[in-house]
Amino acid sequence: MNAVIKVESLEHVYGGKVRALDGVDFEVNEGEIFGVLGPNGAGKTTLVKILSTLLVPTKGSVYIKGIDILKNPRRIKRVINVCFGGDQGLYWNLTGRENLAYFMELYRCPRKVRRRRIEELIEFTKLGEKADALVRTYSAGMKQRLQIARALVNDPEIVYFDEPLVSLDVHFVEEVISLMRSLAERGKTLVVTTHSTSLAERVCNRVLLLDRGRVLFCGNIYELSKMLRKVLVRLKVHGINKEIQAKLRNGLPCGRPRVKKRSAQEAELQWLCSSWREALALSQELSRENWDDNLEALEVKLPPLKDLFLEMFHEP
Amino acid sequence: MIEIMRMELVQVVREKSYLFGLLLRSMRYVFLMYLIVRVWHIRNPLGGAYYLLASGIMLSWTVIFAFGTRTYQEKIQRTLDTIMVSPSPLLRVLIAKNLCGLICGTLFLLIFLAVARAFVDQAFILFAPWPFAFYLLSCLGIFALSLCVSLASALNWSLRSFVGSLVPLAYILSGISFPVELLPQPVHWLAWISPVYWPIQGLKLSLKESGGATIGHFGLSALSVAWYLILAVSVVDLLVRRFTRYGEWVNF
Repeated sequence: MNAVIKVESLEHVYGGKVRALDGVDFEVNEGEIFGVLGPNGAGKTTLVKILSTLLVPTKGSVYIKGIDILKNPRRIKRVINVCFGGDQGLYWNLTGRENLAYFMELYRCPRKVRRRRIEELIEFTKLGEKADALVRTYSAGMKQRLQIARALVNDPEIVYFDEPLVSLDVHFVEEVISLMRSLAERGKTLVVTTHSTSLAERVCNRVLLLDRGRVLFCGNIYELSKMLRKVLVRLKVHGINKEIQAKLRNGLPCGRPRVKKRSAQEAELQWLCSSWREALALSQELSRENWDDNLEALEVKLPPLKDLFLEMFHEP
Repeated sequence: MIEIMRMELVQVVREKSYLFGLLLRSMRYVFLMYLIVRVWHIRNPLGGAYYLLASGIMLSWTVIFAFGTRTYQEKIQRTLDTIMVSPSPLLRVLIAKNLCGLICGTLFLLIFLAVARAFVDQAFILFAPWPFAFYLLSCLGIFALSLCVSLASALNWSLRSFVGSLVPLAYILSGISFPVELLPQPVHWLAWISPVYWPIQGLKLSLKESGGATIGHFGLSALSVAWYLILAVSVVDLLVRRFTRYGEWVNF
């Protein structure tokens, strides 16, 4: 795989005091969806600002397609674009179509190409008839679709998504995720900063975990769970009777589980084990318990990214 | 560039409250001129026609200035950020947007003078070559000043109210409504650094039947305006530098 983004020893200090990034190194491969995750103040936004040439780093270097972004920012600007989350960065008193035409002008897109590309973008983002309505009449989801269309006006090879799911309902979250996937299928490289571990888990090939400007991890979720030595054992029971209730209340012989969901009818229990061997032993132990016909699921799998994220940042 | 200008104009037309505010702001200068003439009894060789011209010019300046200050709104909406991501230089975009103001300002003046023509025969005297050249220079001066004001307010909110107050001061010190010579000498000196003082002196001279402006007057006016244009370009440069240093438009 070719690395389209190469970041080396990147540092950024705001006002000589606040160290936002501290020796960040990573690479992003062509056609990859790369997630940047971390708690508030981790340095995600600073990183994206540097990658999109909006911010000059204090130290270190960034190469995009082999070009140094500090030396040739204008060349880089032609191959990248940023998709902001929320309703900012758009002209509310213009229609969706006019917004696209305006931003195409900023990229000096030829008039002949412009009309065709606008139609393509409207179709791709499913703006439909709304493309001719004023942006101020758009819903949050429609604005996000337009944001994505706007980020594609110059047909960029690399698109940065800055918190793309902000204030979106479940329906639009699915749409934005499917748009991101189809962009990756078209060969675009996507860098996504997000708080949403489920988004990262669903769309990102690899993730970068940042904490206070430092890289904690860079790789896929399998590698992360391997690094953290975490394997999940999940048990789900339904139709809880007195016997099971007593078992759950007094604890099972194999240690204290994390109760994920519990109601009068069903319960979901999880154990985080430090190795596959331990997890398999635990699952065998659990399977030997007398569940009658109430056992719905007993599985051994990689933990979700959210659990690993919480484990890593020691949040309760 | 034309597309940017067109979109800017479309937005202004669609913002009805903005348009209404613009109209009110413009009308106050017409009222101010009326007060000056009635209360101070200032005479001018052109008589009533001059005061109509002056009202029209101030009206067009107001329109130009109003377009210039829209940059602050773009900062709030983060559309300036999206401009910064694109390869288009910020200065090019700002010039396109403000040129729109220049054209609209002249259009407003034209409409105002067309109405004034019904009452005063000499209303169109401004469109003679010399007066019009000085008028355009004065508009460029306001254009540069509005660019400085809007960019300074994009840099710093508290600076906004200060630099905003420079504009009415520039109107007063331009000498368009009454002779600056009537004011104390130190204020008169202050007027010399106003971006519109020299163009207005040239305009007044060129409107006089007996006098007339010379190339020297024009050169001096052009120089005073050029200084402000250079200042505006420098402020844009400063703003871009600050943006790439802090990653956002800075408020201290």
